[in-house]
Amino acid sequence: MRQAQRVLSTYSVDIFGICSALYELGGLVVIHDASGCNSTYTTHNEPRWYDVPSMVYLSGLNEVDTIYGNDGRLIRDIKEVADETHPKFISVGGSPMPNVVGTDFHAVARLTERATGVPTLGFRTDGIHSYLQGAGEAFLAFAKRFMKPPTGGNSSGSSPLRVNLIGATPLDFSVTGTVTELKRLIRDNGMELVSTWAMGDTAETLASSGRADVNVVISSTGYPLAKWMKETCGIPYVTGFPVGEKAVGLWIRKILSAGGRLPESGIAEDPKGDGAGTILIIGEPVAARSLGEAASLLGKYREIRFLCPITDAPEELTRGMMITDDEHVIRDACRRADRIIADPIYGRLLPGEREKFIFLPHDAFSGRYYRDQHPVFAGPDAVRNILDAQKDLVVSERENKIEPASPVIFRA
Amino acid sequence: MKKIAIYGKGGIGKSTTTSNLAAALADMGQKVIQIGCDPKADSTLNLLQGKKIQPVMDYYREHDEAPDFEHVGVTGYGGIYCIETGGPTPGLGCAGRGIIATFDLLEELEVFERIQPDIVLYDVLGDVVCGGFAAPIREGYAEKVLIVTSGEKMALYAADNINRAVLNFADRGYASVGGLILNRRNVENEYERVKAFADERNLPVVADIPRSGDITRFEDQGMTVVAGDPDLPVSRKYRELAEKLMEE
Repeated sequence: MRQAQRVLSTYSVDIFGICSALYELGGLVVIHDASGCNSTYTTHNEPRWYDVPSMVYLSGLNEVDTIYGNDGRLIRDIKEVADETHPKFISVGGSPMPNVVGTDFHAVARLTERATGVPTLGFRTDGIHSYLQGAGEAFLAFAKRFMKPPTGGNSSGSSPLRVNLIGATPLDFSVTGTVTELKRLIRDNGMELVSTWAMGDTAETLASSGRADVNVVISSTGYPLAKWMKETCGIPYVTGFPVGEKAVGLWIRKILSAGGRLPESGIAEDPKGDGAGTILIIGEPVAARSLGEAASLLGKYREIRFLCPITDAPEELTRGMMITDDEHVIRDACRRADRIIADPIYGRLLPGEREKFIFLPHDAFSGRYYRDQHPVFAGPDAVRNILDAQKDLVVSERENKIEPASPVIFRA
Repeated sequence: MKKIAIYGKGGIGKSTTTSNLAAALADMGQKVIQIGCDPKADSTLNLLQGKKIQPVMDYYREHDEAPDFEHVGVTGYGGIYCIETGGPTPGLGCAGRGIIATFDLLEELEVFERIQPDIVLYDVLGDVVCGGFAAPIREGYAEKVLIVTSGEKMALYAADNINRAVLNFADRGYASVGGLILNRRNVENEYERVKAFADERNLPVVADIPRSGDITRFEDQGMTVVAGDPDLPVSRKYRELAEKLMEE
């Protein structure tokens, strides 16, 4: 029973990461599955669903088509919808069922493109890997297909440094203003924001992002694309976002240094404070390190520990972190820490020690439950915002609490 | 890196052909990976002195987790890296899924990147009964299919089915059939029958392997005939095929 999740939730899966990454880009995004998946995505993982129009479709896979591997109906249905909606592109991936019968989504994409004449991206998904892989692959596939090659070289010292923010989805940042704050910081500090992958920009804007001087990876979902753009276009990247006033200056400095506008900033990779206690930060690795930097700058903690519960997060971003999704191990790690920053659901691991927790909701983990109390967790006011949100989050967590008699969720 | 999938009717000699081809390629100095894609997991027996290796799927079943790089395969004759997908007992589970799961694991462990083979040979169960058995010819896997057949009616019937299946997959960007390997069973007018079949489908007969007791003799000793006696006429045929494949 070591793998049973009794208290914790599970992270959003790969196909939802794809939907979230491509949501605003004018494509027809297809989830190949029986009915049900779409509702989980729209209810919990997609806060834009009721405000921002998008074309996310579910194929309605049935038993006979599964047995026959009948990709033909899927392709015909996509064509019918594409003929009506004229999407800029089509994306197709699936959930566990088509994965089990070995559906070849790359082949389906090829056939769909031939049938519709619309550029089609196929994703090998299984509905078991995390949203980090799905969204990461979606950004990368979109760039490989649509990004224009960079022209004109680096910007000169007198013109603003051109920056892409990569890795923005509501799964990591919700829709409560954090991404907007990051965009503001770039612009207010004399830089040109070329694109944000992918909140608030069109497909055409993203296609022009090859002209940037620096990429800023603000979540693990942006890492594969940043790595690829470095390899293919020579665009350097930095990871992280600023949490708190002091961190903002360091972040801007780090970006300018990467763009050759300032000497190397020499920021330590694993920050440590000189205080007394230990703090444990649980979550997506880029956010965790950014919060760790904030904790370090506060100087209250002797040791800052990181725990990444998303076990398929990019290895390069999780070095030095404990990587586990085992509830018992996570509970022990929480017990050993004096303070913990984590999604409110993690507070249920230690019901008698709730005061140790600083709650920071994560849509990819707790869905819509705490969205109303989600603070802006980047920028100069971020630390205060997070602390100010605690009172409401504690009340909300109490109201949403699932009692121990809840159904046991088994991991695949 | 060349990647070739060997298909054909059950019992026609796919594993024998693949192993001898692998041995001949290894003797030419090529770095070879042979992947048996059959629940019976006996493709690489004669490259490993008759010893069975633990198939990837068996490892999963026994350890409840995937094997690491050190346990995914075993090095056999001539440095050939041998992998068996394995799979469930006949009548249970889903063998095709086993092939897909193994391929996913090989990708995850970056087996090809780490071994850097010159050629990968997929030895696939004769009947393409579900999507899993077509996995070796998907985009990114084998580019070419060779079909092993004799002049017997049922072997040619199976070869025709395989050829049709591969043609059906052409739109998907899958592999194409590179030719037939005639593995003789001493049927009357055998070459002519197979040649006529090949011509009708515009396919070449890339090798004509004679029926030979030497194959069985060396297999009884847990080795390929190519390794046992490279100068025998039958071994020379395998070596000629290996040379032809590397020249293309």
